[in-house]
Amino acid sequence: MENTKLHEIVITAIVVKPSRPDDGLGGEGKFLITRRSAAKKRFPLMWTVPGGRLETADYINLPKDTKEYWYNVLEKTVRREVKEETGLDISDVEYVTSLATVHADGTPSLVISCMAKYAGGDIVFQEGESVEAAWVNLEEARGYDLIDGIYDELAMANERLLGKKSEWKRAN
Amino acid sequence: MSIAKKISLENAKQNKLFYFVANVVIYRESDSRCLILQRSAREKVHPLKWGVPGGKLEWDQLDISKPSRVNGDVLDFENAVENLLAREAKEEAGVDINGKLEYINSVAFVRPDETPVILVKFAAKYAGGEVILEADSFDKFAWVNAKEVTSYDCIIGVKKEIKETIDLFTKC
Repeated sequence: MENTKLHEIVITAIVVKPSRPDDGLGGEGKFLITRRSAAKKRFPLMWTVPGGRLETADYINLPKDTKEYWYNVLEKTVRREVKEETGLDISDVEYVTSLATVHADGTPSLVISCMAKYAGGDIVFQEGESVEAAWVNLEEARGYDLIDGIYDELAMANERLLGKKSEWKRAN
Repeated sequence: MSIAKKISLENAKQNKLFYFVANVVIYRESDSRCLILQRSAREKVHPLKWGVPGGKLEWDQLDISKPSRVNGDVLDFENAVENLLAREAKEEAGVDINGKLEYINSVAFVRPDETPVILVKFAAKYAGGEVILEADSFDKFAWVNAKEVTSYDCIIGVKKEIKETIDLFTKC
């Protein structure tokens, strides 16, 4: 009997670039989408958001933060994945939603979708990962061949942004 | 490749497989308190300590004939963590929670049997139901604020997570 509790864990990030009046983004926040390399086994040439599979090697050789625990593993992993894949720095990682998936080879995965703020850097692609990138709003995202479900996640991230804005307004 | 007929770890890589555990701090808006549960003396891990509901993701809970979306050759089951925590809150404490989860923190650790675990802590709003504890698992419960929780013998981190949850939901 196989161990039904074991899963691959994938962490993805919707990177948000908040807008300033003079940054050419038209005064609204934009999301980063990337186009997967043709060499990718899963979803070649489709548009998605950056992210990757967690490996024990990602933290096992780092010092633990407490006697037993490596803390903030989600933030650390997603920050590294985004940096490696796109060259960008991010901050303020938040959770958006989750998805269990079963791949064609039968492997069960859990995808944890996060959002984060763009914090600096220029786009530099990792060999074999992505071939194009675009900063888009929700409306513009519709024009890209996105992996199914990504648009919904962008919409959820957008709602969180708007929610924050209205909370901020109420608080002041 | 066609879609999977069964879920299996045969093609998975050992260093990319984890247990995924989620916990949820349940926040009650009416009095700004959170639910804590005392673990039974018979529990192997943390007997008699106070904690919050939660549990492990298990892929045998997925009905492979009923994915919420078919994505190319990948089967998707949306809201995996949301469903897990709703189920655990109901089973362990008899309560319903709001489906929108807020991220608190995440840790990685290695079990004594060497299985790597990713544990993610969330906050969610209480959505109704009388507290009924799962027999044999929990002995007592309490609704507490950040000050009251300090007089309970909690699992490490719980007091801080309760304070963070209350801060998160009262700031807006």
